[in-house]
Amino acid sequence: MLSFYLSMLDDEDDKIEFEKIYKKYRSRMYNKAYSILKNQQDSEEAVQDAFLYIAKNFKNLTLKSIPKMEALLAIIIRHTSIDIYRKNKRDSQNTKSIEDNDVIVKLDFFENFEVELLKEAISKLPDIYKDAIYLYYQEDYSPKKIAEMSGVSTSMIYKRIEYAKKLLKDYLLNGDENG
Amino acid sequence: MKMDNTKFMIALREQMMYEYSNDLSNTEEHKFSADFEKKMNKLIKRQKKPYFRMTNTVGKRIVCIMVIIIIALMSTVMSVDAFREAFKNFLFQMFKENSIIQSIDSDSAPEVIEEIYDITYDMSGYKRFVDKVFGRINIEYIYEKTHISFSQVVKSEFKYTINTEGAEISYIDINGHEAMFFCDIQGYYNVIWDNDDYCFIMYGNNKKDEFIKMAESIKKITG
Repeated sequence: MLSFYLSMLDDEDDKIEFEKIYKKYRSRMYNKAYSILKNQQDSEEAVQDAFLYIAKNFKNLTLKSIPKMEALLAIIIRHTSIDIYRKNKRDSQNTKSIEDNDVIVKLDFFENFEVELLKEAISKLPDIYKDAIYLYYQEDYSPKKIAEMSGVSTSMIYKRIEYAKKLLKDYLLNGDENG
Repeated sequence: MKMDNTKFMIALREQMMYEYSNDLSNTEEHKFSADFEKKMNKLIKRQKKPYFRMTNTVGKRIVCIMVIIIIALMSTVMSVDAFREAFKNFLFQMFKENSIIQSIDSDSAPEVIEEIYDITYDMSGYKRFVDKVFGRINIEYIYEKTHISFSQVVKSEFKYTINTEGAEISYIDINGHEAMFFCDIQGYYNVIWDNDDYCFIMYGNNKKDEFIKMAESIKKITG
């Protein structure tokens, strides 16, 4: 199986690096997938999809440091798992509520709050929104690239980013009372 | 320029690095199933075929079969002229919801991108993203909810499926070149043309006049 992934890489150094990552993380990624899907077959499919994505995009992934690399691997396995979950459940992941959102929240708004409170608010966000704002603001990924990674449209990524900020704002102003 | 030291960015970085690290903290070894290995072997065989990327999922395989059937029907049973149109150097095949547009004049055009084009309209305030892949450069500009996407593509690689459902297609002039122009069902304006060397496709959800001005401002910036 590994030879298949490796055949998608051109550079010898990339192959060596990829092999290390594959061997080190495939079970960890499986365990994460299993925590979402609760099913061995779907979880293995999620791992397979994740490594296919990684092999195809290896040169574009900025694997600069171990924490950053782990963050990307975690996001990728989360998204391939959610994609499979969504297909199984035919769940549109709160699409309707995102469609209803029209309010733009500027980042300046968050400067009025302490870092610890912001962290707490971020922790309350659903995973797909956390990932969208992390990749967009922290990793400088374009919405198009995030969309490719997430298996949704580019416009959906814009909506997720805006909706994430709206949820954060609601939490910071009102606490948990809005759910 | 990215502001890494704002409270929002610090909180986002610290919280998410903590969470992502936790996500992969379960190191228990999993023995992958024989079925998993079998699936991968199938993929290995398919990957060697030149059309692997078009057929690497069940959905894509179904779409490919449907497209072949539709093209075959249009070529034989139906009147082709009503659906297929040659627009300057493009072959344009229009179906009910989507259309396929492909450059058919690539003989004398560059095989790789030798000169880079970009929007020269004032894009102050927009965040700019650039993706370079073989034969094409995609540049995206984003300002709040406004999204402009511009792609420069070598002619031999130019084949796009575009959403033309319910769209009224017209032809406009972009710096002396005839361009196909339409507004898609999501409210995005689209414009497609070629300047004899490269094909260009741009779409955006800003105002029509401004969108056309942006398209007209596209110029060679290097090379």
